[in-house]
Amino acid sequence: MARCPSCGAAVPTPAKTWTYLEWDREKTGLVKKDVGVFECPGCRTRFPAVASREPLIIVPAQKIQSLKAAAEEAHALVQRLKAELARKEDQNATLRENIAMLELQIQALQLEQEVGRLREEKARLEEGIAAQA
Amino acid sequence: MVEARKAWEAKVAELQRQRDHLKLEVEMLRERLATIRLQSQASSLEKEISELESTKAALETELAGVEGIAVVAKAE
Repeated sequence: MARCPSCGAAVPTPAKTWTYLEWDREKTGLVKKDVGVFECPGCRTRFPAVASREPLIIVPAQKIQSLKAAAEEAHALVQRLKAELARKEDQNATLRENIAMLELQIQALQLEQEVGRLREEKARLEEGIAAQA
Repeated sequence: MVEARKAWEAKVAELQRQRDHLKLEVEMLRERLATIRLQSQASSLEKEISELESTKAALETELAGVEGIAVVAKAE
C-alpha cells in the first residue's frame, strides 16, 4: 500500500504496474521490483511507488536441475518411508493382537490346571466324608 | 482375529467362574469333613469314658466286697 505524497492518503492498488530487475551491489545482488503508478482517490495526484521487491540469487541452470532432482528423490524417499512406516504399524498391531491372544491362552491354561486341582481335591474330600460316614 | 480373541475371553471367563465355584465347594467340604472328624472323635471319647466308668463301677464293687470280707474277719 502506498501513501499519497501530497495529502498522505493511503492508496491500496496501483493504476498501472510493471516489473524490472535491478542490480543492488550493496545488498543481495539482483532485486526484482514491481513498480506501480498510483492515483490518490482524494486529491487525484498521480505518483510512482514500489509495490513489492524480491531479492534474487543467480544460480546456474544445471545446479537448479540437480536441486530439483534431489528434491524429487527426497520426496520419493519420504513416500517410501511413509509406506514402510504404515506397514510396520500394521505389523505392530498384528503382533500386539497375537501377544494379547497368547496371554489369554496362557491364562486359560493356568485356570484349567487350577480347576483340575480343585476337582481332584473335591473328589478326595468327598471320599474322605464317605469313609467317615 | 477378533472372533478368536472373543472366544478365548469367553473361555477364560467361564474357567474363572468354574474355579470360583469349585473353591467355594472345596471350602465347604473341608469344613464338613472337619466337623465329621470332630463328631467321630467325640463319639470315641464318649465310648471310652463310658467304658472307664463301667470299669470303675466294677472295681468299686469288687473293692467293697473285699473290704466286707476284711471287716468280718477282723470281727471274728
